[in-house]
Amino acid sequence: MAVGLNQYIPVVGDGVVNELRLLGERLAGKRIVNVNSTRVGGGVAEILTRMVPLLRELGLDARWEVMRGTEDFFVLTKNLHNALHGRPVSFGARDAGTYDEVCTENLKSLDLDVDLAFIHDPQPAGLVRSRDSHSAKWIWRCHIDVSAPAPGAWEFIAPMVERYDLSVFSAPQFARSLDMPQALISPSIDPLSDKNRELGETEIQSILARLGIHSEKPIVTQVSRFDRLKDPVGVLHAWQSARKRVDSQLILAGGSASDDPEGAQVLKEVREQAGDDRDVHILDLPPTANLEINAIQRASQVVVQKSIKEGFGLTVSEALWKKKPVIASAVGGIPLQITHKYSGVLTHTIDGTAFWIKQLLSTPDFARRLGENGHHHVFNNFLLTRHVRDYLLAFLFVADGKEDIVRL
Amino acid sequence: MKEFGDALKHVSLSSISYHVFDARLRLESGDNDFSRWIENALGESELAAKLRSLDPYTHTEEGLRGAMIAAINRRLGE
Repeated sequence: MAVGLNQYIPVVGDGVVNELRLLGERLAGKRIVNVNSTRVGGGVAEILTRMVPLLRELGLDARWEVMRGTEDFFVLTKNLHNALHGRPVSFGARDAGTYDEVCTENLKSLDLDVDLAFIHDPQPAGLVRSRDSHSAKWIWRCHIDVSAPAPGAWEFIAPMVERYDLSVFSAPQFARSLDMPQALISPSIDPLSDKNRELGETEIQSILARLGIHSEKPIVTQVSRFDRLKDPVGVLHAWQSARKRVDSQLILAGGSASDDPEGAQVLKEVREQAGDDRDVHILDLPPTANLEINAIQRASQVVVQKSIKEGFGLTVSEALWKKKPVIASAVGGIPLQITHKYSGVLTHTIDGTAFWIKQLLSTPDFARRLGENGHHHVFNNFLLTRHVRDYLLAFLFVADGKEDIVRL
Repeated sequence: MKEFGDALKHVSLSSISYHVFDARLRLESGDNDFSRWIENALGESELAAKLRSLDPYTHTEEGLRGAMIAAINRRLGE
């Protein structure tokens, strides 16, 4: 359901919205195509679903295309995703061939006669090979943590990335040594989406009941895809350790994205480890389960994000926005969202996570203050309106010939 | 002056930042665009001095907006 720009005024104030309109006027009619690899599932699809209609309302001719891939291609890009996060995987000529074929095939049907091609993550990065056939400027938007890639991983995509006019990363430590300018733009949450809007208590309880969850015991939750890099088994072990001292129930709520072949395997592992513990709820939800996630986060006393690697960790901002105390790993973009013991808790281990689960369940006043500070921090930094503004500024920079100062 | 105070409530933080922080570099006089305008266009030297004295580095941008609006409202109330 599309939400218009004016509906953000009660949340962020008219100054913010007026500024977006001013920037939009400067880009009126500009044709921009966003390309990623999945329409549903994952943070990128979630942001584009909300952002593309807003860009259109601001007067940009914005489109969203999804690249199609073979099973081999998505296995390769999942390996590449893991390798960019540091897991050793080697890539050979056959992989390069698979990647090339899929890019070439997609270029036959993608309409790239635009002013700006905004390409998201490694899967479609190779589409830039067609740039000489069009006059478009090309921006590569990296959403993942590429600060410590395994050998060969960055080298697989670097020759493609080098051809872009601008690259965008979510945090300073992700930036690479590249010849073109780089922008640091954090992603964001949409405060008006089904995932984040206000919910009444009755609605929350009704959704929980439908999911088979009763709220007599405090709830500890992690919301994430079933992916090893989110360490759901680690969360389970941390919670089991904390439960010896403070009783609670655990929700592990996630789903799969259409470009992630490992999800089913990880889900199976988590179920095996949990056994038949009635206080553990493992929910495999479809990508559209936004209201369910919203209700689960709002019903939780503590939210966990024990990622091993993380690009940004949108679920952290989602929970902070709902004033929930969040215990999260100090990885990737998460420390941008949490100042330890002020707007949340940063941990590094299963034991540390267990300790803080116990602590926050035992000291609800402190937990509440963390949540309130976290909410304020998200308000100032991680709402969709800020994100739209940063992208508009990036578009202006590239469209205006990459000058240091663009006079509006 | 009332219109200025009202407008301050609605402009973006980037605007406030530009006219307070950027102005100090641009004008090279420790002044900012708001205090300069209030003094030169409205003849309000005391209010201008008050706005000039606000240290932009010890306020958040929203705090700065609030402090300026409060100073203007106090002057209007006199």
